[in-house]
Amino acid sequence: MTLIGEGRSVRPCGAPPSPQIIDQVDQCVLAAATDVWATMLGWNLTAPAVAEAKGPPTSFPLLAINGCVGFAGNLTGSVFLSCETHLGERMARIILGDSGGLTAREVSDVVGELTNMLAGGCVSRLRDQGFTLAMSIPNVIRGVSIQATSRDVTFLIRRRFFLAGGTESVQVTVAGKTD
Amino acid sequence: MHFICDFTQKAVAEVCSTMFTLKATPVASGEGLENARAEFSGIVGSVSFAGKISGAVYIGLSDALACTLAERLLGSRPATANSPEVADLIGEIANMVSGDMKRRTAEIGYNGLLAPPVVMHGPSIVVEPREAHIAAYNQFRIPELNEEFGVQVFAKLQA
Repeated sequence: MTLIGEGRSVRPCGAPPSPQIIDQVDQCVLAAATDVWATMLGWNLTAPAVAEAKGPPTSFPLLAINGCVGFAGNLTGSVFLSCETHLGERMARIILGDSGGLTAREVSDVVGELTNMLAGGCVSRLRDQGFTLAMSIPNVIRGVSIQATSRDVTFLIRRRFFLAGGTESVQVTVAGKTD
Repeated sequence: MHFICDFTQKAVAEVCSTMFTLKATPVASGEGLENARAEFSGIVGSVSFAGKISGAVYIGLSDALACTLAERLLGSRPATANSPEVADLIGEIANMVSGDMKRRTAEIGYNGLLAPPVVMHGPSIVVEPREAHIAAYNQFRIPELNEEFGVQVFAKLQA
């Protein structure tokens, strides 16, 4: 199956932000993700030193379950938290304290809430650094073989966060632009 | 009818008329959060908004309709719906629809800032709301093309 813009960069709209701003956003993502997973799940997430993507916008894959929160202000864009179904269910079991059968809706609720907390952590840190931002509400997107692309953005950061000592991971993607 | 549903219908009609000189007529609509979810197949353009009104607009079209609209606007039919020009077009439609809705909601006191559009493509795309107080779905028909498409809005109003 050929996917939207697969292997292609997305035409940036406007001047890209300075590398320092991209680094600021990246550091906020790293700190927020580490905090949220430690607080909510007691998990120690590790991220490779080098992001999978960091710079000009490109298309990006979504996974089976994806939380999405938009933000707007003098920095606008979207935060995606993506994971496979079994990891989403594992996180839901821990947070909901339910060892029995979980409904898809409960898993979506947990992924949506984690996305909300992740985006909130990023936005809060960016506000502390002088950005003016408003956050949208989270939605959860499910599907298979979804390829996404953010239009009119000037940068994209995509990181995988691995559970310590394991190979399972969540993917965080931030695409945006500065005014 | 909730004003979000009404504004969606007006915005879609306006954008289809302006961009494509096509008439888009609402043929079905639904409101309410119970089991609210949107199911699409093909290409989906979405724009989030934040402020006095927060949420997102999702516009789902079939690959065939997306290519037909691109052909109408650009003069040549894209080889596939996966092409960047189709993604650009769907992103622009989502941007214009949400921009029109933003103007209308601002006029009644609910202003919001728009995030850049996100375009998704896949055989099955299901969107579920979290924290939304309003869910409005509209199905539109374009008689001239004998095609239909759906628009889902999930939103929350701040007091």
